[in-house]
Amino acid sequence: MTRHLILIFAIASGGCLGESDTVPLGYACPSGENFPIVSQVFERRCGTLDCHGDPGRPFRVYGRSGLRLRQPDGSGPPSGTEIGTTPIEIDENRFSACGLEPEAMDAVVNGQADPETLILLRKPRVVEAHKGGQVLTVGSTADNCILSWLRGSVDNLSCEAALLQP
Amino acid sequence: MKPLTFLALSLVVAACESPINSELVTSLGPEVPGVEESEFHRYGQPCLACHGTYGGEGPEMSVAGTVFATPNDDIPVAGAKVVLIDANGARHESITNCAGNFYVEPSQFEPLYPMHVEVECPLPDGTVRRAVMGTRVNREGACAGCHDKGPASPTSPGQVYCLESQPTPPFAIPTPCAGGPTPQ
Repeated sequence: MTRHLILIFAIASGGCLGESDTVPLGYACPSGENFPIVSQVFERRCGTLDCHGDPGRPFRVYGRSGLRLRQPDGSGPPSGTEIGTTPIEIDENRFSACGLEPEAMDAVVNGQADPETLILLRKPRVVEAHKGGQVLTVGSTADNCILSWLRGSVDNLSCEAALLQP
Repeated sequence: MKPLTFLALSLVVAACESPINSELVTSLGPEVPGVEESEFHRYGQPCLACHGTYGGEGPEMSVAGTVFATPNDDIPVAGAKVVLIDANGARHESITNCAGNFYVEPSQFEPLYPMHVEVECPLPDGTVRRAVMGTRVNREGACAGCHDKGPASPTSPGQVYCLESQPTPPFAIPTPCAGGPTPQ
């Protein structure tokens, strides 16, 4: 009985790991090397406070104009100010994107699956139901930016162009 | 009513309630003594918590909020023009009352998101200052759904405001007013 309780407690504790505690466990994630500009596209397209800037969303996006990463005491940079998105917030955005479907992302990174099968693209393209409606159209600069990151080589020109759009 | 019918009806009604919204409404607390339920009440609070899809209180609102003078002062701005432009280019304008409140009913304007928002603020010196929201609204019709009353925090850019700091001459609390910080 005691061993069962310990096992249940251990499993429950494992489920409570904070997002900052570790990268997606044991799964591959596209490189963070050129991710900052991709993060900006996510922040701009997805990260407003009424969408994925909500900490309750599975794909949670931090950013200068949206949700800011808080310390355990609740402190952190204020939203909507001149304090830009921090490197830690950018990392957290990458982990969040990869943590949506870790096994599927792992397969994409290892060349065993097409990135277009990921929920990260299917939802904003409205291939799958998305409360926020269509945020990406196939072939658009923002779509190309994210897709290029998923394919392992960030298309900076597309990302920059996407950031210039309203 | 037969018990089974009653049970079925109860389940349907319960299913329509949003526990998250109910929690939000509870967190807003009671009415301020002396302020009646009207367009002047609960300034700075997320109007759609009650007047939105899940709230059930009338009138139903599609967009609503409060405009303040500065980020840190509890001074509502009366007569501010709130301009809403939706994804189709449809435009709607509202004017804030003495509590700084404005609201839009779905019959007047139901935006297709994302929505652009700007505010034309009447300054105490008689000029007008245009404040433009930096990001688009994507789904939340209540300004205070994101813009918590008070200054900016990690989870909110703070209340909607006209100027970073008090101008000369300064903003004053609009009086008399049936709501706002000094209801009378």
